[in-house]
Amino acid sequence: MSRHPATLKHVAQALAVANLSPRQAIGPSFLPRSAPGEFELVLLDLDIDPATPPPELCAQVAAACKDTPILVLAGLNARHRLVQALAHTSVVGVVPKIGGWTESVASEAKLEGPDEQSLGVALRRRVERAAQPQGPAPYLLAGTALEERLVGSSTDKDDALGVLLADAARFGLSDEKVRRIETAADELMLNAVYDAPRDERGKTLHADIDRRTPVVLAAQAQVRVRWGCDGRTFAVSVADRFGALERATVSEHIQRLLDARSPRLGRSGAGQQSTGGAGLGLVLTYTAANTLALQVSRGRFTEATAALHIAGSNRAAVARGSALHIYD
Amino acid sequence: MHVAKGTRSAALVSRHGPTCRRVAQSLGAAGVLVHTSPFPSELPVDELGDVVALLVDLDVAAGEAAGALIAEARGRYPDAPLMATAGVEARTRLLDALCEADVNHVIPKRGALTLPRGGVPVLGSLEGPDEHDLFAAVRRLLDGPESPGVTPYLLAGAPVHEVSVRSSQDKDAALEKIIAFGESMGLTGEKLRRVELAAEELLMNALYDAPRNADGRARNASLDRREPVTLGADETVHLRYGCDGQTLAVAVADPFGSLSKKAVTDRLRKVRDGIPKPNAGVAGAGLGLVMTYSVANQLIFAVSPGRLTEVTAVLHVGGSNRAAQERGTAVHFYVASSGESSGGW
Repeated sequence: MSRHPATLKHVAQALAVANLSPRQAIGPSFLPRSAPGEFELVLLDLDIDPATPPPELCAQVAAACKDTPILVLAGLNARHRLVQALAHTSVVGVVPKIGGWTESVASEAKLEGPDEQSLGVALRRRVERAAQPQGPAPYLLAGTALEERLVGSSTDKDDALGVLLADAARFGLSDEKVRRIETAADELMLNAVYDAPRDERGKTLHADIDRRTPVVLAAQAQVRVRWGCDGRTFAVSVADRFGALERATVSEHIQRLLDARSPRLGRSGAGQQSTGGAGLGLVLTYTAANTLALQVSRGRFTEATAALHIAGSNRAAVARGSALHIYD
Repeated sequence: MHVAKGTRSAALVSRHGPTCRRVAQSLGAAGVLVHTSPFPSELPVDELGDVVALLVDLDVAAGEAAGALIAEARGRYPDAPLMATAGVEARTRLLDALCEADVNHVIPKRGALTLPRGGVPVLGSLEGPDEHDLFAAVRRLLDGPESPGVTPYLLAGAPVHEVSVRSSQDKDAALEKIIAFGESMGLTGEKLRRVELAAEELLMNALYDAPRNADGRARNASLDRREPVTLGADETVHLRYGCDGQTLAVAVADPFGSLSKKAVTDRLRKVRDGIPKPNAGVAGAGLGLVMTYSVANQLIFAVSPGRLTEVTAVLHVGGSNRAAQERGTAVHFYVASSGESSGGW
């Protein structure tokens, strides 16, 4: 659902990657009433009505296309409105248009559409519904070599991070780019080691422990870390074996970005119940990455993949914004 | 810098910051350590271990002939595959390097063909060469020149389509498929025309220029391109194409392996020296290659003499068509073993 010519073009190219055909509507009231499953998903361009709160637009779409996932796009006030849209339970992904993330754009004419390649991967993953963790490969050129480490303790985590950063150093990346990679990789691994592990009753094992306290994971709880780089994108995936991450948890934590105070101030404090492995780390990873993909197979695994654009200047990479996709 | 024996490394001659960064990133990602020198004369000779590529940025001496610069660098590493990049007068100087020197890979810098009003690009306005071009090129150097089709140029998992072609009739049907594919992506106008032209010219080459008799002589090259041809059962041509949303790649592989670098550079000189007017129906005019070069962002030739020729055209279809065309054309030539023949294009 969009009226923005550049967006329509970019979306058409991305849909073809997933072998999907588009049906365009220019507003929620123009959407055909559809049965659940009739559409694979609805792509909603929030710029069709910049004055209406995103959750309200999402609700209008959800009323017309029941039980259909919604992927939200935006360029006008993109960062704020995309995060707001996550409050609606049908939203499974948010994608910024290029040009709308760091600058305040008043008109759609100055915006490009969403990145076709990144959107193509997201749509393909949604259609394929893989039963196994996909790792970083979908975000990299075919044939890109991947590194892999198994992490069984907080010490292993530090070792894996060291190897990953040494790898990144070989590419001659600037300090800012390395810092973004470090943030994303460290937070994803911390989440997998401390927040994700559960006992047989589903109660968190390490979530309340200070992150400086060493932990050792059981053999069946080891975390799989994979990363690779194709010269333009650095992607890192961290998979735990619990599959406990909830969509609501992701939404709740990412929405801390809307708090005028920093996300740190909104962090769950002592005494608050842990919400299943996605706290401050998720917010930091989302802001560091250009794409954050969360694949959850309930009770089996959660895999978080951060893809970071490393071509050109760091400023240009950050200005591309952050997309978020939840596959559950 | 002294590199441990067995380490894969590359030598780069450049003073251009963005080029140095992009080369380090792309080759680093391919597992290759890059040593940079500002001049060919300062390249270390015995310290780099296993040198898998020598990259020369022709902008280090924009007033000097490309051949002289390349020869100086070549003197340091007689056996390493040579790559050249340029931003200033990029098209001409890169074609010089490809046609007149033993350079098998040329990659324009981003921004090289985006001319500032009334002038030529200056180094300050240039980016480095495209990271994906470089990464894929080095990966293929390391992996060998077999027939990987379009996958090295697309994101992993991007769907790839394959069509077998044995006759001119099959070619027309294959073209219809690839046009329908482009249209399904919303490609129109010039973008769609570029895709169609690249696919058609690659297929024409495989059907008319590549086929050889038992004695190695061209079989169909003298035929009018409007005259139908049919290949033998064991001579099937394979068209593969795919798109990851931003990059569309088309590859055509024939089982003749008759294309030589000389045949390619003879045609590309026409681009450098001014494209001749098409002479409709005249066989072997070589305009197919010239036209494919003009519409593709990468043109890759992989040849196993007598066994296989695969030509891949990579087209950037993201953003505007103008921006895509301004990215210029990289050319890569991979040959499995020595052997020159005059066939193809």
